[in-house]
Amino acid sequence: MLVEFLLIAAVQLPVAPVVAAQIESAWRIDDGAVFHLGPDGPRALRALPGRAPGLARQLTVDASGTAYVAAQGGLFIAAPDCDVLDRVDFDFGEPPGAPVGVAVAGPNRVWLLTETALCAVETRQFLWSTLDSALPSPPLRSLHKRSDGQYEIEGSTGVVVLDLDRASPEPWPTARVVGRAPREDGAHALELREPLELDLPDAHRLRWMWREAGRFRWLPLDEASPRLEFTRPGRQAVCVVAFDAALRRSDEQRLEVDVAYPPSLDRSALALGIGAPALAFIALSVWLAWRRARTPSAAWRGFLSAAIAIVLTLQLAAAVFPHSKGWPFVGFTMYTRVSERDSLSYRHEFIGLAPNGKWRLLTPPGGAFGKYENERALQPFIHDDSRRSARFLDEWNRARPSERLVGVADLCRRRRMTPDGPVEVPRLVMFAHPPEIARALP
Amino acid sequence: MRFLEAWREFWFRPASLERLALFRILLMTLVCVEFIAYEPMLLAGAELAASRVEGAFWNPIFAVSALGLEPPSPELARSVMTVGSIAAACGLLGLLSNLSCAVAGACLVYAAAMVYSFEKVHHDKAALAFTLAVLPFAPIGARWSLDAAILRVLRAWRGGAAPDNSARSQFALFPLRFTQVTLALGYGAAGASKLIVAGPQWANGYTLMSFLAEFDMPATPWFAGGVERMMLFSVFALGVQLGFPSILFWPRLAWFFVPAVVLNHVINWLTLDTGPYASLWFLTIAFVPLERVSAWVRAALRSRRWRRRVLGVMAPLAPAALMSWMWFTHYLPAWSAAVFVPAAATVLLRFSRRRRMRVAFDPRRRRSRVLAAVAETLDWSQRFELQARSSAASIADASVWHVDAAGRTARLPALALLRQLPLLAPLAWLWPSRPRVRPRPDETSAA
Repeated sequence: MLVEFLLIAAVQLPVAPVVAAQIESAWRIDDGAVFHLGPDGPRALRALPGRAPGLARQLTVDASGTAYVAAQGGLFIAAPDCDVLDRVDFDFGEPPGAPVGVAVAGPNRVWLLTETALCAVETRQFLWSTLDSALPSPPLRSLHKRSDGQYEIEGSTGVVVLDLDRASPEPWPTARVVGRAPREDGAHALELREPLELDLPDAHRLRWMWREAGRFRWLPLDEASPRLEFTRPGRQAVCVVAFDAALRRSDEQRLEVDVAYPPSLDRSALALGIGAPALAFIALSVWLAWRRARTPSAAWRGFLSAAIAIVLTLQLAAAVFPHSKGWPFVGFTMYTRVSERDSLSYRHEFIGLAPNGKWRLLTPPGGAFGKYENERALQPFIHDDSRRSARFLDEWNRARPSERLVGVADLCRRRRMTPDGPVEVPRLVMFAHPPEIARALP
Repeated sequence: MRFLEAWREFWFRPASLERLALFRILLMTLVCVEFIAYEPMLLAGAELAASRVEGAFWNPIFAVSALGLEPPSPELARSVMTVGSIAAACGLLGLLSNLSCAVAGACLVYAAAMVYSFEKVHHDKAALAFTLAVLPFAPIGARWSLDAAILRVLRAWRGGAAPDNSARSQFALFPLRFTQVTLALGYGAAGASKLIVAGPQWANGYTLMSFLAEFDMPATPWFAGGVERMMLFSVFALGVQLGFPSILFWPRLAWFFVPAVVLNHVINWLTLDTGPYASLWFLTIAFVPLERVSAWVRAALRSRRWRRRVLGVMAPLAPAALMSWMWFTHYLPAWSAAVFVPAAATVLLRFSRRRRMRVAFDPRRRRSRVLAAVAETLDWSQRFELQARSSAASIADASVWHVDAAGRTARLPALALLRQLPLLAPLAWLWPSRPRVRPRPDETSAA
């Protein structure tokens, strides 16, 4: 109890600047190379073949100990438990120009200064966006955070001071579904491939994106014609969110939809379209067999022949429906996805911090079955800031008083494909609740 | 007409009832294990759905949606698993074989459909579901079953005609064929999906490597340790899947494709954490002429070529060892091994070179008929050669007689007869296995 009290007290004490300074001091750029200063002395980080950083110019470290390095070859990341300095592959294209400076902007965000632009970078999916601030003329040379929280940006025509961390205007606008009202249960009833039209306010200023509720990756919404199309029948949910230019984001807005099976697959159509012809075919087959031999075994053979033919035909016919992903044709990602050299694979670890400072592996609610189910069940934690995590902690501690937890986090372990096999590259911290526990991550 | 004849030849050619019975026994053993393996998942899903807590997931597959089924309550889920397990055990023993197999199949398919709706859709039970759907339509209880035993003893008791003892039936082959065709369709289509949707690039080595890299299984680092190695495995997996349907046209290719798909699944398990997937690859036993295995092994062991002798030992032992390891280390309690003792004794006795024992019985005497029927029913290792001999009726009080090589008869006590049976084989190893027969009084005096 005393240990728990001390740990909670430590988490709540205003020690962040001191710890940040310690974390920063664990990294060094020396002659353009990046070193990690561990207990065994400085360790130079290695780059993977074909992904060399060139000259490292600046690094910044977030609360979890993840280091972001602006280098000639791009933006790189490093972690204390990994000896690889790994180049970031941005989602939706690369920012313009070679990076010259980097600074932590907030949870899961960094500012990246390139020779030609100032960008905000989201550090889980690696989305980026340029800021239309009044910058000095290129080439831009350095980014420096002052003690008053403002940033100095040096270019060829002098230095500009910007207040980049000012909050985004509140409240965030919400997306509206156009031309249809939800049912009483909150879901919008849709036909297969019928689009859900959206009205996205402030689309000129905000970047609207969406994702399937069980998946991690945000996808852009077309501002000119914002619509979502569903190719899979059944009840499902999507989340819509707005990002500002600094990649601060609104709360997720969850939209429930209930997509109907095509009319050809509804119960009465199936009974008429498959059941009745199948019965007729069986009857005909039995009659023909009986007429030929007039023995019960011949009739039974006729019945079995028809039944076998029908079931085999139905198995083949299942391939006609694109959402039939399991049998006989298979649409799972293992059968449809192609990876190339330098592709990444991911493995999530949902972990909880005990009051004695030890971490334990957890299973998110609803995700007990396997890797993919766990990843689906983790999405509300990853995307819902700390509220889902807070509720989970509360429920956990009430249900298991003897196994109390003081925090939860998700480490995304990543491996990059190389000709010599997969190589462990720096992990990402997808979330940590409360944020202070990121400092204690393993 | 030619098509109809070919159809009939393919599905309804007279085939061994013993093979069908062995297929039923193995399949129901698998179903029993699947119930044990699936119970926690079904119950977890049902409890989560019932509690309506955050994270509960319900995305019904098409069949569930079309039938309008809802998530089962935990009580219903438990009942389904209990009924299904009992039915599968009955199916294994051959008690009300067709009904019990139908009930076990329905329960397992229901459980699988619900689990698929509670989580990401899988496809490991698809082929098994189709096989279980056709199995009850075949004479699965005609051999190696309590049904057959009860029928035989009842008829012996009543003095009616012995049941049809023919070893083959025109309805014994179609469940095996159906399983074969379903597997060929499934494996072939899986390979085609990769080739059509992902393209030949799927076999570039990095694709398979990236899937392996998502897991931390013990064998993963070695298998994923180089792109050339991964490319080789990718081409092998693709080749095996695409080539699998050729077994239907050239059955001898089963010697390659059956071990190859098993190897594929086992490697997937050891590297990708897919689970054993036994509910799929175990069905490849449909390609094995089970009724001929013992004769084939005996012939192989007598062969002068050492490679054939090694094959004769490895071919049956390797899959048996794999299944035993998988089931006993993951699902079955140790005591359940006792259930397999009679089966193991049967196999051993069947492979042994002991001569068959000729036993005569009097078809006019009820006791003699019943004892002969019991012996024939339980004679899993084909130890007895039964002969009906009314001429021996002069011997008072004797139920059955042992007939020696010279054709002489001697009384055979019931206990000595039963001790020859595989159920009691472990005991028979402790005592002399040859029955001590008392010679007929007239033969003694003649000597």
